[in-house]
Amino acid sequence: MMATAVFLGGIGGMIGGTAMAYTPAATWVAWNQTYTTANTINIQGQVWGQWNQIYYQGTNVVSGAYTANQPPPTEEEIRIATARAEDARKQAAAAQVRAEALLLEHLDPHQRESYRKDKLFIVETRKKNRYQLSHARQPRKLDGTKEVVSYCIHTYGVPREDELLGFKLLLEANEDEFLKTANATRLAA
Amino acid sequence: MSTGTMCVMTGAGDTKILWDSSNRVEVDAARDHFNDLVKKRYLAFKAEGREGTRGSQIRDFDPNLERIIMVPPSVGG
Repeated sequence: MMATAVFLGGIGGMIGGTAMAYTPAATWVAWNQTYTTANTINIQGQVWGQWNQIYYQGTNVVSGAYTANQPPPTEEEIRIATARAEDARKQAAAAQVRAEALLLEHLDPHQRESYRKDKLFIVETRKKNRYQLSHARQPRKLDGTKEVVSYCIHTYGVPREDELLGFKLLLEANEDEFLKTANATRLAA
Repeated sequence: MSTGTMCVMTGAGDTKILWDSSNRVEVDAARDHFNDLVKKRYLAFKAEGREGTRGSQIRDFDPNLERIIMVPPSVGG
């Protein structure tokens, strides 16, 4: 919070050894200069680097790393956080088991074998178009064995296996709706 | 009499809602749940059999269906 006063208060200071006024304009010039670079890692590093190098303490500008004055977590807090994380992990694992069982129930024997082996399966639509649904990648349209189009489509808030079953059902029942929803990228020949 | 199942996809895996097609209270409760989900833009599919039989999209609740799968709406990325 002290550092905010430095940037907004119009008080002189040092950045990188150069005297400058801490006006909002100067601050945003610095921000924008770094923001326009293509390297996002540098953007974050430079902005927060400057933030940390100079901050305000009372009426004095102080150089050095700003450290939040927060006490370390107690053993009880660590125990609770660890238990919550473990509980969340177990729930996610259980959800995935349920979702995979539901998916496998709705695959034909060939698709089921393919999914168990490679975590992917092929769906053929009423229009005889063929799509590959994979656990690891976005859906692909196939021309023979060649991938010709990739589709960016998501169903948020459900395990991946449920998402794949949803895509399968939608492709089989309403391919046009699937194509209307997904963003398509034609793959290089 | 037949038993229907509605599988609702959630973050915890699917939740199953069962009804006896001859029990009006159960059918009404299942229909209400179905309609609530459709209002939330869930897609409803009927799936007959468990061997990957091709399903189809439905708009209205039918208590005589063996299995309905409710899928949350998808979005383009």
